[in-house]
Amino acid sequence: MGLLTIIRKSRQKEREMRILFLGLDNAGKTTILKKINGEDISSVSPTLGFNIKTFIHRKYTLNIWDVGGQRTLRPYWRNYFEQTDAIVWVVDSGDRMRMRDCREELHNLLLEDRLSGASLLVLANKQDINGSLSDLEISEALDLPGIKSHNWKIWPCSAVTGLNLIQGLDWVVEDVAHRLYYSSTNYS
Amino acid sequence: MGSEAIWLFAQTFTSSFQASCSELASRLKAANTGSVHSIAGEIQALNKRLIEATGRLPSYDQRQCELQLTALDKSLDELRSSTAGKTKFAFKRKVKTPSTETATPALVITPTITARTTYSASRTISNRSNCHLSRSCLSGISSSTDQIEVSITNISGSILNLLPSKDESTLFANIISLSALHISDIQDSILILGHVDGSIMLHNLTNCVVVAGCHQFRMHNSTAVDAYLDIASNPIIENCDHVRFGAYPRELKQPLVTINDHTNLPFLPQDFSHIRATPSPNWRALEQDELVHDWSLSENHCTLQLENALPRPKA
Repeated sequence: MGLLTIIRKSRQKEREMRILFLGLDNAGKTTILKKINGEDISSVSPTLGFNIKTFIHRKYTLNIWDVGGQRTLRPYWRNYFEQTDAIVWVVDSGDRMRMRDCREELHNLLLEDRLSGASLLVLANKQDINGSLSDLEISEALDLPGIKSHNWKIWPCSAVTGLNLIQGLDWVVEDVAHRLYYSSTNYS
Repeated sequence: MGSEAIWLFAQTFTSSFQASCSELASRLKAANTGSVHSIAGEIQALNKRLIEATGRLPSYDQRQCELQLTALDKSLDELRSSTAGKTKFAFKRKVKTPSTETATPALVITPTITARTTYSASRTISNRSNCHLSRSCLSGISSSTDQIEVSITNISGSILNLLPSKDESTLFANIISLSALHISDIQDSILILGHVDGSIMLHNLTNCVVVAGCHQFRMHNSTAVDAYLDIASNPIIENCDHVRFGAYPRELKQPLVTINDHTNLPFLPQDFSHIRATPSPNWRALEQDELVHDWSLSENHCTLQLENALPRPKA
């Protein structure tokens, strides 16, 4: 291993981000990640436990933790909070019956000390389905304007068509980079 | 430490931990403002003990203990908020109210939202009992042939058949493609959902038969349900019991549905309430002689068909 490799490796390490994908079950967290990576989405099973995905996006290495959202698994979310740079909260926009549940879980999450300062990207998923709530409606239903503790943004998206997935990811990476690597984003 | 010693330790630890937990739980029930503090201290101590034992407990026991602690924490929080009233939650409420008052744009938006909700409410099939519902109840809900979401709630003693039929009343509904179903509070009913190009989410079903082809299947808080599925992923249940799974019936075959001849289940159900190596006591595969074969669901013999097909027919 030459010096150049070492330098390159350490630079890469510097430009790492840890992103946590959370949300109720059936939101589409795993499907979104698979879609972003160009994998097959037709046989995604509900996540028992968690998946880790690492890939390079806009010169940053993203370590993405996708944790199962079933009620029995939610108490384990806290095991993944340490050193999180951003939270991606995925919402099933067609699930009117559980919007309340969704809002409560999200707001409880944001009370967590270990997540303070993390950027929050809300993905209003399943926009390809007719009858889904719009991003504006989701924003109201989840009381996003009431969030003052985190820098947040909501994007309407679709894991099936790929709508806005990259744009959403761009926003969150940009937002974290601005916070963590301000000097390096300026010249790159 | 030998494996026997570790096992002995785990045994004694778990049983004494359980005892302390149940003792604390009963004290929490009878607690008042004065004792909250001491109970909180004891929960902390218990937590510390558990952390110290990490590595010497089987992971399942460890998890169970953690779960119990979380439950205790939760009831403590509830007790605190009911007695003290000055918690983070209460504080947040106070902040929220003025913010909605000042945010005038939010008030402007409100009318459009109500309009949307009534519009989307037409995608709901709800509050029906003792009747036969066909795909025609989907007609008139959309002028497009888009993928749609349908919510089905509060149905009892009924047959819901969403399969496309040759009946003229359903001609329009036939071209609609379902891509997500949210189903809740169904009793003593048969739900023939046909092919759903997405996921199905079910809550609170009792004594029902569900027939569907879908990408994902999740069922919560339900009891005595027979599910006949055509699915490429693992169907899952959470907080359910007496669930039986079977393959999608050949008799209701649609062009989209693949039927394989396996006598075994062509998919593997997972029980999220029973995450361990042993088989879940909450579900099993339907035996050959338990499978329903007569799916000719006509309107005339609704009650009889329900009686024949439901897992728990009325005596």
